[in-house]
Amino acid sequence: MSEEHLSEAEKKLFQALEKEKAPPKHVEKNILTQLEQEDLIKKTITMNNYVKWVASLAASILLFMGGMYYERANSENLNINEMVEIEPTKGYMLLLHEDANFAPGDPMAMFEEYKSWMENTFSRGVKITGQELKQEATLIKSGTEEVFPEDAEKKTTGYFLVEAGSMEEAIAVAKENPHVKYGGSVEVKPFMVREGM
Amino acid sequence: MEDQKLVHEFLKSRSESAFLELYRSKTPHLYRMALRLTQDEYQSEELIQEMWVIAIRKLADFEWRSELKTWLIGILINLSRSKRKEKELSIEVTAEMAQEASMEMSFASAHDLENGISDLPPGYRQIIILHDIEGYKHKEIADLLDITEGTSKSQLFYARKALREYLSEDTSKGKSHE
Repeated sequence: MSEEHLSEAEKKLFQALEKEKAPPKHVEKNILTQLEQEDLIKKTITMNNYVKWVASLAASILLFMGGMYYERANSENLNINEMVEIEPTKGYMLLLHEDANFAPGDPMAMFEEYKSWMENTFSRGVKITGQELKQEATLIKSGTEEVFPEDAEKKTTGYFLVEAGSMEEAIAVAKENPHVKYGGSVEVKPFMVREGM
Repeated sequence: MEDQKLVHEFLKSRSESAFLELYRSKTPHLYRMALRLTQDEYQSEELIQEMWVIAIRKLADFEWRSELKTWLIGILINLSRSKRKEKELSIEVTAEMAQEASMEMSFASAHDLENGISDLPPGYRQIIILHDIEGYKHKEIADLLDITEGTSKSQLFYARKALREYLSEDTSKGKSHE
């Protein structure tokens, strides 16, 4: 045979070689970070990312509500605070409270409900973010150095921040929150934005 | 989605999501190639990272004289070469060479071949990857590597010869153990 050509057997051998291999996930993240630093790309929230993110957030909510860890949703390890920025003039806080009447349901069902709620909220154009809170709190009161446990009658178990067009829209979002269905309450408070500050 | 559309979408929005579509459509192929070129995961990751940053810096000026993949491979190869700083071989193909590479790789497996490629000197490995794995012609390789077609041919000649020798030794070793 000539060195100019591969034999048929050799061609088959080359064809059998692996053609593709996905690099580790951190490569993608490193590239995105560098491109963002150089202003070559703009950070965006994709629905795909958002779905993962809400799953992560829903899981973290369940973490302190139901006291159960839902590992599946945390696998992406997304930083929820980096995902969404709320415009202060349209900002509303949804505080989740619970008392003795709160009765969490099946964690899987709750997870799906929270996930759907956040996806639906995002889909209708209302930006939403939230934060996991630990199951511990310290109450500081004026005139005493004594530390009190959190008021068991009204525990604050989490919050969401939404960017809504009006108080009515924020209330509509809060009403659909599954927390209410399980006996919890949701307090809606608009951001205070002072002119010139 | 076809390359031109992916690039157009990205340049229009400069969004992370548009970049990721582009990145994910091309990277697995390029990363596999980088692994073959460097034989090192860490270096391959670095190459892919640097390649994309350079590509995105220059993408608006890309004139589509070649396929996007070829352009990206060009960046990858140049980065790899500049890191390696290997002296280029420039041996012209001669008629006598034709008789030297007569062994076949027929009895080897794809695994043996992969090992054989990894055992080649970087310059030979590069040519084998581009010509025999990626299917580029000598003219295209010459453009990619900024070498002459003759150099590309001669490197391929020596690369195949070395590869056949490696596989032949490997096969005979295997047989002697039987």
